[in-house]
Amino acid sequence: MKKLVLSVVVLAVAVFSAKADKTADVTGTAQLLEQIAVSTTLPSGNAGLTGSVSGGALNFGIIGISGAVSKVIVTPTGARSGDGGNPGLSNNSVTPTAAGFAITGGSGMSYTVTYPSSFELNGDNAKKLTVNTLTITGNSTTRSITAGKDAFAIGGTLNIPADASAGNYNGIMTVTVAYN
Amino acid sequence: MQFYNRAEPGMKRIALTLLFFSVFFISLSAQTSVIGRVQAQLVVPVSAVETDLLNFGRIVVEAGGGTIQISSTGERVATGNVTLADDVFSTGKFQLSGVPQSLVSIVLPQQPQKLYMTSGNQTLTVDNFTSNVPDGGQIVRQSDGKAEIAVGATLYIGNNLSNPAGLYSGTYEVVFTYN
Repeated sequence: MKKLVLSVVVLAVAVFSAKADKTADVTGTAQLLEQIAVSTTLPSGNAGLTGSVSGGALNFGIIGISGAVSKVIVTPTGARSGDGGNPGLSNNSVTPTAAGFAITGGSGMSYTVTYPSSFELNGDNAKKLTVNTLTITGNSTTRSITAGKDAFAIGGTLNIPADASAGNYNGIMTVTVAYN
Repeated sequence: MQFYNRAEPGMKRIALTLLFFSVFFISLSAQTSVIGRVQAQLVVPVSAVETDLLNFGRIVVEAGGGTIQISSTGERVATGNVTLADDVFSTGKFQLSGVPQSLVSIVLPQQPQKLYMTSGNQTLTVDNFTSNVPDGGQIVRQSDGKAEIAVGATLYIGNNLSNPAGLYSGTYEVVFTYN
């Protein structure tokens, strides 16, 4: 009697083991999802991004100091404009660019882009400039991956104070992508 | 004993379920970051120096008075009862310095400006300032970051009683800004 019961138990476990295998199959399917990756190296043709876009480099170009509070805006297509205060805009020797990013990941997956709301550029003159109001291609931080790829560009607004000093200003921004 | 054995498969199922969810959760939370570079270069503000006076020249004033108009392209025209004594005159000239290839606009005086007699109380009026800056702004040269601007205006002269002979001088303000 006792033997019989134990056999049943063993069979039952075997059945569950089979189910466990199936469950493992499902888990395996989930693992087929590629890790999402973001790169500042754009494929040829800038991955379909239009305008003046450079891999991972948001460049406000050369700006003449006006002596007034002013803003310089670079859009996700790299178009530059001044907003108040008459900053001097010149394309001489440096072309303004939006920062382009290339994505690889699971086809059809939706993902979210995260970037800072504000950050500083450090000048070689020990002064700082603030960049804020970042903008992204398509005006949406929720994007989707088609055929394993996607690309977007980021622009922003450079804030120039009235007492700005001439100099080269550099900074970094961390751009994060995550599956939704 | 029997009860214990029956419970065992159920526990295993729970464990498997947890495994399933934990693996899936890791995939869903996959994220990655990259550092983007951001650059800007600020350069000199626009500046200007006056390289030539706005000089209406030597004028003989008669009874009725008149005007002397100097255009920004360098022509001088007298109207009314005044005579030009010689050919010496000049437009006001300024040399701009700014960001090469940038556009600079000009703001001229919008109100009449006064010239004051150096040895008396009389004044002359200068108005209708013009410049040769195009509507869209003056382009600063790429080669040396400079540009030359000319300014003209009209001098209004009263009769020889209100404006006796003498040297009259004054100043005017011109503002240059990046477009």
